[in-house]
Amino acid sequence: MSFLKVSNIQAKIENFLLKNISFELEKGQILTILGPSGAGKSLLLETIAGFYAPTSGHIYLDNQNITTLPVEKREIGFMFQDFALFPHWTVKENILSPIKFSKKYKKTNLDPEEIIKMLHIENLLDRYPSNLSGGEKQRVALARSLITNPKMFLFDEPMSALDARTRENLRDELLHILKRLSLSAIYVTHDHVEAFTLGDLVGIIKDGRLIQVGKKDQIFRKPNSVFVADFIGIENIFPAIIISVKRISSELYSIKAKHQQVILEIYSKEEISVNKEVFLCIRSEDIVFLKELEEKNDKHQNLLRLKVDDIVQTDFYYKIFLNGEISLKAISLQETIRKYKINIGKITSVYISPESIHIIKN
Amino acid sequence: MKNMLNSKRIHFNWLFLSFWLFAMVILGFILLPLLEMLFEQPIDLVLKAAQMPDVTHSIFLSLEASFITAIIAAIFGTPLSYILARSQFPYKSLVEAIVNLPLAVPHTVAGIALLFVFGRTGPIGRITQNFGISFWGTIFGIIVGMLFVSLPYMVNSARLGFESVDIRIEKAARTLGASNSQVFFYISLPLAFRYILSGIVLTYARSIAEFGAVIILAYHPETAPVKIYELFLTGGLKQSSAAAVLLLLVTISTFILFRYLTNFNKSRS
Repeated sequence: MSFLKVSNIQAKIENFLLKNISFELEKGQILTILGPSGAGKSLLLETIAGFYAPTSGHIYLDNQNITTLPVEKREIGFMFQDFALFPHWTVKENILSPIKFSKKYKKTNLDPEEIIKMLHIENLLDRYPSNLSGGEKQRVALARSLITNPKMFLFDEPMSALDARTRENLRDELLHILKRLSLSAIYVTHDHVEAFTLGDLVGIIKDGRLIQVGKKDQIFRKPNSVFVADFIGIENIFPAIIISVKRISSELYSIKAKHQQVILEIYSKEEISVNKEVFLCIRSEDIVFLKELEEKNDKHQNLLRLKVDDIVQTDFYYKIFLNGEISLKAISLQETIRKYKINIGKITSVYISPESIHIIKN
Repeated sequence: MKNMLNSKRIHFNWLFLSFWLFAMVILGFILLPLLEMLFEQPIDLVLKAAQMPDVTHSIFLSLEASFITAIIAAIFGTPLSYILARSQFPYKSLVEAIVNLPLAVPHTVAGIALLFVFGRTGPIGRITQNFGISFWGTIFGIIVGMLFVSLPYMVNSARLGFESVDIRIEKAARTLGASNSQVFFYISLPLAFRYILSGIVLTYARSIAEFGAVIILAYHPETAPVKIYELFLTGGLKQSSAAAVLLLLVTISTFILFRYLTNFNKSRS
């Protein structure tokens, strides 16, 4: 059995329903759960932690059924938003608080001194939480949880109140610590960059339902619904109709799909019936700009000539809005823009490889 | 420099100026009568009043009864305020209304209602009589009257304190092995303590001031407000105002002392 197995959890918390949540997590893996606010992310975590009892379903952790265990007996570390340090206690008192609460933590196999050293908080011990930076708070909160020697960690958007730069630093640090101690964790966030940076597995939650869960790359490349595709940041999603399907090797099909007047070729491992209405997803980084010379070489199906409507600079790349027989958003580095002479108002040629287009069937 | 003055004039906030004028009226309305009474009073009359045993007794009785009332209010009001701050239950708004009811009931009416329960024939008065405790004309009656009218201050203040504690801090404690009661005594209570203390101060101040409910339950022994009322009836303004000034000085100084103690607590945490 997996290290953590959540099977068919249903829960009703005030007026909110968690519906049929199932997933599994191996030891040392990190699952990030991504969803808009109000999707039930925190409630799912708090149900796993034991603050709410599921109305049906089971939770197994390390071969033990913990579905009905009280919070303090689950051996699960929980990191809340802003880290929820006890403001009236010093860092040292915070870190040793589990020993104050329960004698059983006196004999954990992790020595408090060792944890303090590992997380570099020796010189913070006499300070109060209000005098700590975001990074220091995170390390103190981790240390405080590690004293209880938890079997796994739950993170409820601990960094959502911090600024982008600090968040990035803390994320790297956190990942480093979790991987070093090979800790299993579930990390909840509404930020897809955070979700894909931290997670080995990614789950998408909406309206109390886990819509898709799987390996990070699987979710990134093959979202199972328009909602997931949109939420993980795929810029180009449009309806199309399948017009032909041809087997080109033992496990690959060449599929042609039509959106308005544009016909695109797609390579897929799955067969699909002709005339089916589907959605096509193209990541903006998969739209390739071609030099003028290459334009003449018109052997590819997926070659499009589009007008550049606008170019917008973001932090380190440019967003290019293309329009014509189809509207697309592409991204590109400044160098490419200069080299390929991409200018607003000009017609440019782009190519989309058949492997990079993903079909959403429903 | 000239430019700075000019820009200040352009951005002059007329709204705040006019609001300050209104605010001055209120502040003056509160302070003026008290100051007038204080300064119109010859100091020797106040000192004389301080030497009258029945006046000093009444002031000490007021302080004693108010102090006991504040402690009882804290002991019984804190659990209710924690329930109100932390749990949802059917008819919660009804419970909240009950808590605030004493604010709406005229205090003489409250005193009469209390007699129905704590009087010699009332359900509680009858039982306590067997242990020699009577609420009619005793300090117990005074405390009961004070408690009834001041409890809302205690409960509301402590509730505000518990609501100000981030619930995630309490939940974090649970995941670190704390039981529900450990969460309350180690986390919620210390973090809400300043509000509870300020509830105690408010209860105390409200109790010293109470007249209506107390005079119905216990004309004797006389608390300070009752004594002052009696002096006013028998000796007029001159007789009563010396005792009034004395009471004012005592209550204000204890109030300032308590405020100082609660603020001291604030600056430490």
